[in-house]
Amino acid sequence: MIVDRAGAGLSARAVTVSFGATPILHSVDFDAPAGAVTALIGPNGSGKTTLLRCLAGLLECEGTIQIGGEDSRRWSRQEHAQRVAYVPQRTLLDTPLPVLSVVGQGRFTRGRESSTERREAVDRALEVTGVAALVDRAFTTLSGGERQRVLLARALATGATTLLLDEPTSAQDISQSLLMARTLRGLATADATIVMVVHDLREVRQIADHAVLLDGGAVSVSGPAHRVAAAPPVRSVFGVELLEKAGLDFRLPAAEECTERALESEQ
Amino acid sequence: MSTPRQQLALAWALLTLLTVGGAAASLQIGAGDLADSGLGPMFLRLRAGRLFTSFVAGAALGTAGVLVQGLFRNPLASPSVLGTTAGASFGGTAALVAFGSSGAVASVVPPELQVPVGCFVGALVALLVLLTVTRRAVGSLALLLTGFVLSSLFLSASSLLVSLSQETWQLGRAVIAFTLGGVDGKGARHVGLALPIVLAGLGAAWGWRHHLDLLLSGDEEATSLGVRVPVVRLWVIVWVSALTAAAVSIGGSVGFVGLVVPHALRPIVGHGHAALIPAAFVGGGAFLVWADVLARLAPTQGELPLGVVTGFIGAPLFLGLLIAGNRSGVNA
Repeated sequence: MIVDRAGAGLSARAVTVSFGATPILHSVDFDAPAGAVTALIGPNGSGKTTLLRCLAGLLECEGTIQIGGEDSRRWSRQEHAQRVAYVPQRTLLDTPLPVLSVVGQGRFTRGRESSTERREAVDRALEVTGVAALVDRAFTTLSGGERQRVLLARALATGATTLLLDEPTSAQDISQSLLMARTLRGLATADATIVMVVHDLREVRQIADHAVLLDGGAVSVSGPAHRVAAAPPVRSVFGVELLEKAGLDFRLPAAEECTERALESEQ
Repeated sequence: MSTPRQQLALAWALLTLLTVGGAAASLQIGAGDLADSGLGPMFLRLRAGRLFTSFVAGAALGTAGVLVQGLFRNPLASPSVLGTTAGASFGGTAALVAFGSSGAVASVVPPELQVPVGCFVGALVALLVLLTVTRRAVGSLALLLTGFVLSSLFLSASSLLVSLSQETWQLGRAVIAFTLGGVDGKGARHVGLALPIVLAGLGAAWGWRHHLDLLLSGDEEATSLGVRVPVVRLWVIVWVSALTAAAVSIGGSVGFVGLVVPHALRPIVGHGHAALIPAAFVGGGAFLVWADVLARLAPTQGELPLGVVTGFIGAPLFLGLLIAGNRSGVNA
């Protein structure tokens, strides 16, 4: 499915957002190539979700956003929806619609297609995300992880080649998380451009090819995922130390560990 | 356990039964004797007028209920939350008072259309105020609050007119009858005025069935999937206003139909608007037809006001649905 090499990838230049007088993103530059997963990482409040919403065209911002070599902000709402799919961390959908209907919503902008075309696109999305067995279930009866997979299926059903995902594994258990990682890797292999917000730095290395570290609304460092996740800025931005012999694992700095030990001994 | 398709078929069988049964009861039940060779045909014509008027008014309110509940993503929303119902009611009351006290004004509009025209003007004024105040608002909260304020304002203004109209016995009686709702004496001209608007509203609602499904995920997700949310919101507001104005213009102030009917139908036909919109249209019509039949059957001198009957049926029914929904843990 996905494959759209023309002017592949996403490129953001000088993206700036302010809410009133409060600056949220300062001149953010980064590239997310097609056929790869790019992770946005950073501490809470660093602007990851805001950046994702800008890229999805849901938030006014300054700067330029090029997707597939075109200025995405010139697209109509319909064209945008056909080329860029956005999956929020938590959906507001709290209605017992059947899963098949929810995934079918991804075809909303393809009003004139035949029912066969529609069904094929929905079936492909259900199959890729592994939720075909849930089609008759009501959305509200699903677990958090299943809901995330159904929303990913809805995003894929749009036919968009750029996927913007906000913490797609946050509600998944370990096996579902690995399944999601495999699904996303498969989509990247099929030439999708995937930009996702990730909180767990170990997942960054498992899923992502590239990573962008945001700190206080600006890019602190970007590059190959394994390097960014282990880079000194990650330690300073998150205020943690890397455990060298434990692969990619972290601990609190020595001073804070002392505080923790003191608290434990008091109890 | 039945499939959704079987449930839908069952729902339509029930709706058909309710509508046909209601129509038969509405034509049969009343003060006059249909077997009377002299007056029978006139009784039948009068009852047919009531039947069609109540069906059209109920269908308009049922459809408006689905639209407004979809717009606010809240199955407990009623068409009256926008303030246009109170605007229409005030317009109708004002028309009664103005035309009732001034012969010169009355000559401009045919007598039977004075109140309906007043309702549409009142709803239009409320709609214009609503859109002006909320034109730069993001989300539905401003809409809800403005609607609440408008409702309070127009209800107060209507109360003032009710109070003033009591100085003339006949006018006071007409105003009270209008505010309590009723289809007594309504006929083809009233239905002819409202029906095109109601059918157009049904068509518009049907055209937005997919948009409304997507809005259940919230404005942001709907936008990301291609819905132009501000445009949909604007037109839904306009059509809810038109539908409620049409209903008030022919049936007076009748509550609970737009709230209860979609709410009661969801557990049977599902939450998808493609099934819900036509079902609420027919269900709303059938509900008001039966309410009108009950208004005639009540053991009182004369008839019960229609708004009183819908309140007596609607409020307990709504509470029952709410309790059942809470017990099953389903947001019905």
